[in-house]
Amino acid sequence: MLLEVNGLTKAFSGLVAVKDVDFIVKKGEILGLIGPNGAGKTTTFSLISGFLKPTKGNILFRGKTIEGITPPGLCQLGITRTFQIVKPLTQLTVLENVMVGAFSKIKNAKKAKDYATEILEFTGQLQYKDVIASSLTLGMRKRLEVSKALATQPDLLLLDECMAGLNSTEVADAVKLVMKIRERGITLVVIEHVMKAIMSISDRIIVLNYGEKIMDGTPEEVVNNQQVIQAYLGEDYAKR
Amino acid sequence: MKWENIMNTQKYLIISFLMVALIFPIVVENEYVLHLLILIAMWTILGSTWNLLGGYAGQVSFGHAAFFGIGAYTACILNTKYGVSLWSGLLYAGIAGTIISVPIGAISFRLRGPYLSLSVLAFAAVLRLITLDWASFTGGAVGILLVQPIVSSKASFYYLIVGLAIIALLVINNVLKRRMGYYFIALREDEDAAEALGIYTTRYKLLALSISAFFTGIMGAFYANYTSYIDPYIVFSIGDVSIAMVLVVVLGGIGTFWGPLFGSTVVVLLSECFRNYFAGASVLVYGALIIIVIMFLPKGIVGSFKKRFKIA
Amino acid sequence: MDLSILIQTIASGVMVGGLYALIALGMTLIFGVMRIINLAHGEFLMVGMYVSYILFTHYGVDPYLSIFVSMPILFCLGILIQRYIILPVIKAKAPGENQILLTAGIGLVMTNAAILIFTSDYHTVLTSYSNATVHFGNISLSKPLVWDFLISFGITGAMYLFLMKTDIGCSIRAVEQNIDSARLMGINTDRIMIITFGVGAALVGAAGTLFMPIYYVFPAIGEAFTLKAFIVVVLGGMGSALGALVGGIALGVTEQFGAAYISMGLKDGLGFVIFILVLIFKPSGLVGKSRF
Repeated sequence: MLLEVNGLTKAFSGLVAVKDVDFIVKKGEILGLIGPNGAGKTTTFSLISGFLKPTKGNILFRGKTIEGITPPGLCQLGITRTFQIVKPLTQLTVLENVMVGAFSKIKNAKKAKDYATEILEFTGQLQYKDVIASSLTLGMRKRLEVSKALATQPDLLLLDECMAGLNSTEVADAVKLVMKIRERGITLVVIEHVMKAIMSISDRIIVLNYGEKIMDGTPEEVVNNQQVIQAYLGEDYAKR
Repeated sequence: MKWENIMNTQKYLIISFLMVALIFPIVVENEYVLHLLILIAMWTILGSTWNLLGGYAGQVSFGHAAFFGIGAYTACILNTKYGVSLWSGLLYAGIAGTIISVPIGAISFRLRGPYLSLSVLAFAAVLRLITLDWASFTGGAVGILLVQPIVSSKASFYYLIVGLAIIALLVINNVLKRRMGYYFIALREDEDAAEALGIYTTRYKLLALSISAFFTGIMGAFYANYTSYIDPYIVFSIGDVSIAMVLVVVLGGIGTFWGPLFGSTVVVLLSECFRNYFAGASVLVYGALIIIVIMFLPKGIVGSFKKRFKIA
Repeated sequence: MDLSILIQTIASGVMVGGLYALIALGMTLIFGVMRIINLAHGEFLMVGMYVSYILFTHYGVDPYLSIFVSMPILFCLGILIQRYIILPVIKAKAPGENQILLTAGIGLVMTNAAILIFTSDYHTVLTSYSNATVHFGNISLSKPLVWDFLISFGITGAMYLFLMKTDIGCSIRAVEQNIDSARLMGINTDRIMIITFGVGAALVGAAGTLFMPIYYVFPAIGEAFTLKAFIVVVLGGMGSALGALVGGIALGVTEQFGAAYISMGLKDGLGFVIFILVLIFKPSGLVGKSRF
């Protein structure tokens, strides 16, 4: 068990964004995190990655509590997240962007550059390595976001809607990339709205609605669950 | 980083430039010209060191006079009161700048954007006030006179400042090539992204500030030696030091390596022209120049050049 | 500790504080709406003072009446500067340091124009009541200072009403809260920014006029007051009219305490120390983000 979340709660003075959520993440698995907009998925990521402090509950990584550790500290421990609204370092090239990620574990500039180049080859972005990030399309920026995160050599990678806004070819490529990442031995938690994609890549899926966990199971179980259908599509569909 | 593409041409240009710079005083003995070059070199260092913090790391300070003044006073007080050599004084000035930058940074970096700029400005004002009031130690408004500065001839000052400039630029260039430099730029671009990628943002902001404050402090000490006299209004001046440092960088091109050099050349030469042609109105013209530059050349000289020709 | 001295100190602090609040009100409006740090703010004060000075020495106009001239003049000056110099730079999305530098340049031009026109000499305005005092029991306060406080308070109150009750005031508050939404609602944000800067300038100009009877004018007087205005705005909370009042009085009282009980020289320093303390412990200001 790589990550364990118990009774995780986050309240923003009155609005409870995440309410008493429990789940575990097993080493080497791909865990999907889905739910309607506003369900608390990104907030959960922010809590796990140290950007927010939980109001209640605890988070255990490799058996040790991690609430209170800042994002850079968690990155050093092996947890890296990407952002839903991508944050490329716009005035740097693609390669330099990835180097910044590589530097978290590699101090030497030359070695960081070599490792970043390797990562770009892995994610299929090597031909863009000298392009300034500000001139990338959304699809390429999303992939860059993943490359940057990979360069930090994470054990647990939190991908936040890395496929949103992509066309179907790009989505298929993204799915392939996620599987390749798992093959490297990295554990993944993936927030996604593109249903076909998340269903095909996840070993297990957790469904959040209004901050609460309403379902935890395999893709088939989730798709057929009444509560989930109701949450996403409304009561009319659930009755069928 | 990106200048590896045109590195070879640049290398030759720089080396020839350096060679000219080194033999210059031997060939040209005009003291006025040397004086202008000394000013240009001094502001290049001041601009470059501000640029490291403000241009590359994105933390805009409008209070660098704090470090300039501390450096000047450290060197002068150590020399006049404790007989410490002015050569060591240069180093101690830099160290003093760095030391004072730690509390200033620790407080100011909790703020962002304009609040950060204001905070450093306030600290500079406080330091000026303390220096004014603590007359028994600092001489107060009377200031400090350096009877025997570090060197005496214009040519010696020239070589000293050029030497310091080479050191400063080499250090900054080196920083930019290493992890630290990349981290500074990440700070400027997006702090959240930086944190997610493992960067301890406050730590690196403080690091950028300490380096910047170090060289600014040394320049304060150099200035004290060059003009032989300092007082709180001169070395802690918002307009003549803090704002001037920012102007030199913005005019040259903020966030570019050679921007400060171009900026300081233009500012120093133009200021002299204004003094000669406009006499009383020279500061007014200087102010108008600032307005014109911001309105029509917002990316500065090097910045606009880069954009035009899409280099790097 | 002599009670009457204590009360006297507090009273004069409050009086001066009213003036500081007026100066800061202009700055907080400008910052709230345009998000620029106006380093030339003190220079508008200086212009206000000179306007009063000229009207008094050449036309014999009482300073308190000249406020009706100085406010419109400063309003126009502010509008022109905003329309032709600052607004284009804001619209070009210039970075923060560029905007601050721009205002610094404007300030320099204004200060030096003043030096050229008036020389660096100090000038004062001496009226029949310049040295008059008002007595409340044991306390004696300078009469002009009391007038200043009352008028400042009045103007601040009028501003509050303007911002709360008029359409333009509402638009200004809208732009201050979210400029894009305001634009989507059909508010001409350029026009609002121009008007706001004009109003801000007029407020500072008024403060300058009010200041003339109790102080002296010289071209470089602006810088010190720009800094004071910042202190007040941070003390009270950026973007809050009530905050400007609270901050102004807080600064005024602090300074008077410093002058009375510590030393004349360090009184300004005390203000800075409070400034830094607030930045450390409560960066949103004493009043916090209470929107106008």
